[in-house]
Amino acid sequence: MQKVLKKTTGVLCVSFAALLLYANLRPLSLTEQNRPVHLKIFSIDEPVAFEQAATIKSALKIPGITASCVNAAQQTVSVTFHPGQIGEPEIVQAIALQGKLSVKEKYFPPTPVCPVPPLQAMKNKLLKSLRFV
Amino acid sequence: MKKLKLFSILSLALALSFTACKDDDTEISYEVDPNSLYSRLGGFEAISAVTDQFLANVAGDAVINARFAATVADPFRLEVLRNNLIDQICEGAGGPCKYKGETMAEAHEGMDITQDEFNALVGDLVAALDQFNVPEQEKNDLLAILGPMQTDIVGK
Repeated sequence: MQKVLKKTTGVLCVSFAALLLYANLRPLSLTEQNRPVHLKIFSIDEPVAFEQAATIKSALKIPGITASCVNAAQQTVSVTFHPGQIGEPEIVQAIALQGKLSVKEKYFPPTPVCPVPPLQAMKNKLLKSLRFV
Repeated sequence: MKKLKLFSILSLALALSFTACKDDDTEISYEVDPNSLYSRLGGFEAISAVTDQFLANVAGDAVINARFAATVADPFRLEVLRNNLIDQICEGAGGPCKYKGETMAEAHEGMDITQDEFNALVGDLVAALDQFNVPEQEKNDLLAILGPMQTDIVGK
């Protein structure tokens, strides 16, 4: 019993060490080297005029924000951004046009089927967490 | 000491075996035809910027954004979607990337995507390309590459 336990521990240690080596030695593709972005959707509590939508779009042209979309009809603003460079409070402040509008994050009830399987995301998460640089 | 040596050798051998089944994308040739659509679109940075705008448009599109709610909520899942989109456009345009996601038929199986939803997605891509003033020729070339995927996406 002790022998089996010892061997299992050995196999697990070797596997972990191998995974650690693989995570750190494998060459990264162009997209993997790309800085990741987060995507948030915000809702505005009052109707948004066309000119106001254009002003919000301009206000979001700040470092850290890679893209934005203002949907005046739906009263929503979607933003992609580098999380290490800009935070959500600054984005909300920019959308609110210095306090003129009331803005909050919008949540959607997810549909049961999504085009991105979670398994690939989990694999990437594991390899990233094992990478030293 | 002998055990440590054996441990190191085994780890290295296993790591090498992982690398042997590495993703195809690691074998990248950075030589790109200057006349390719990839080059005419502006290369990797431009494709990445258009993709971010495309994602922002999709997230703001009431017709289809609920389909992506679970992906948007998880940064790692979002990263997979973003990277897959960039790889798909980059590879299709003749760039040095390799798409490594599921086939379109596999990825959309059981989703029952309607023609209206597909059209909305194409509209969001066109809007992103327009925002970056992508010329008509390049826009049509790109849509001609992505268009045939419709049969694998709609009604599956």
